[in-house]
Amino acid sequence: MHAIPYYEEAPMASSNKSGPRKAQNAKQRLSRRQLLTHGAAIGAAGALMAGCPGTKAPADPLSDENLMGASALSGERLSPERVHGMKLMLAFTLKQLETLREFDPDEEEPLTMFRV
Amino acid sequence: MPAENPCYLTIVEAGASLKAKRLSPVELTQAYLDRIESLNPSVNAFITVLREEALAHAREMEKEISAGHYRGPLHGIPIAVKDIFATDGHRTTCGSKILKDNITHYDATVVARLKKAGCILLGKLTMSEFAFGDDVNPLTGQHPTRNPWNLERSVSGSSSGSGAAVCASFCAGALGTDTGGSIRLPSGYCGIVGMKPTYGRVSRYGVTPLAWSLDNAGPMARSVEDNALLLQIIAGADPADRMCSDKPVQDYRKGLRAGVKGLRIGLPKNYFLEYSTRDVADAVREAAKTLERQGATVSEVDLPHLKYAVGAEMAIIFGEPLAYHQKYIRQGKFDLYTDTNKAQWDAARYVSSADYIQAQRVRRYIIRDFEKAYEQVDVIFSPSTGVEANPIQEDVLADRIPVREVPAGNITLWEILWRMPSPGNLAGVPALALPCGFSAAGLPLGLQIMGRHFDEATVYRVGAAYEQATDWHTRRPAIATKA
Repeated sequence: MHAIPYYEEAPMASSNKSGPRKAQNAKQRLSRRQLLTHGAAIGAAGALMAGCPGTKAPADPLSDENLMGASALSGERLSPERVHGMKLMLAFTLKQLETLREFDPDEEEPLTMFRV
Repeated sequence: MPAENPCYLTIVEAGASLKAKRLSPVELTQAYLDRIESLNPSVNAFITVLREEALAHAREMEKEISAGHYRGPLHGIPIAVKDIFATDGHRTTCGSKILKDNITHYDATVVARLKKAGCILLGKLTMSEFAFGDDVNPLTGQHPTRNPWNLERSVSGSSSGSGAAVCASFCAGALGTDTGGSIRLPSGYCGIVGMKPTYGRVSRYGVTPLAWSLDNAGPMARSVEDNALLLQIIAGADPADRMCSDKPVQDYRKGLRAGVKGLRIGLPKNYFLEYSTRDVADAVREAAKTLERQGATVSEVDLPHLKYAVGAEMAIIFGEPLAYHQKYIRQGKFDLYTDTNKAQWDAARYVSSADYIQAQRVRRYIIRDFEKAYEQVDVIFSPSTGVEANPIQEDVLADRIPVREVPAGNITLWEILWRMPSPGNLAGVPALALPCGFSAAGLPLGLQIMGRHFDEATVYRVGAAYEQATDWHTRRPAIATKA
């Protein structure tokens, strides 16, 4: 896996310049989008490695154990029965939220008092 | 008294007969009460029937008419309201065991306005628990509310009793509430006319909230004109609801016979029609063609951000209600909720505050989509439900979500039923549901007409023109002919 060349490391001792270090040219600089893409690639690679022998499989985020653990953080640890009762509803909701989370509303502010 | 059963009269027809003293408020109220007694056990639309009080009020209204004091077109008209509206001296249960003994001591603003106009309250109607849960009706013996067109089919929710009661001619009109389709879905499934007005057009004072930023109250009736008459009375400023607008209320009946010549109808390019079953999509397209033949123009409109609408609706409709219901949960009443609401409150824990805020940001894009579209067209047509009424057993939370085949592929019934109405709630635009055909199984198919903010008058005008050009609204379910 290649390291992300966010900026070129310059040896301090040989540097004649003071102040913040900058990328030496535009080709070596990465945009926010590229950073996110590289980040996703690293995540995907991690997921693939997790499937290799000797590594742990990634935990199912909707496993009973995970959901019970996460519920404890919201103030009440759910019983296995309650987790089972809401799992279908949660899976449906998360699928819809996934689409919402993909959207970048840029600098848009939320509606805090909806009055048309 | 007219030869036909007076329960079948529209509000406009009954009002004319009452004014002319061909029919008395007592006769009309008695006819509805008899019909409720005889048929409601099959349909299960009422939580509370106010027999004695309704008859006493009818006698009072009759005296006034006899004395020459006529209040207007709703004088002596029997109606019913979803059990989410506070009514003075009665139980207001929200369809929940939690509020089974909750007596309210005031009238919701909309109820007070209808009473002042001369309406007679027949009773309080069934609903999905707190306008969000399943429709098992724990207060009426665990029986679901049944669709008068086919008792094995769902009415949908959450204003289930309002849809069923109007459809079965148990009352002349009803009130419902709509946070994500709760007026339009039962109206579509039952083949009646339901209006979700512009957000802020109708006061919500005395209405138990579901999600404050999406909630609306609105009328349900058997014709567009009846619906417009009811909205005319309940719309308008109310200092008791600070989100209620003080903009002047239009005259909703003025344009009902003006036709659609010169009006522009938009058909969305994306999001709606390819996610509805083919019979519904065809019926909606045919409705647009019908009005094109009457002089309207039809063109496609683009609403690109609607693809985020269901996610945004879910984030809000899980977040805001959970905040409201924390009080009952903290009081140890969790076990009193129906299974669906238990599941919803538990699932809502995993929706983050960032999701909620993101949803409120996306709403601005959706509002702009609508505003841009309304530069090109006057109203937008879409399906109100996207499917015919589903079998009643599919309303029960099970191990699998029912699936429907639509042009876009196989998608869940839940997604279809959130997808069609939620843009109207997120954008706050007025949206009218009305019948536009029948399926092969003999069940109503629903059209939705959306308009500009505070322009309910144009929506009604288009709806009335469509109604005058078709006869879908004149058909009655078999159950409604048994009395």
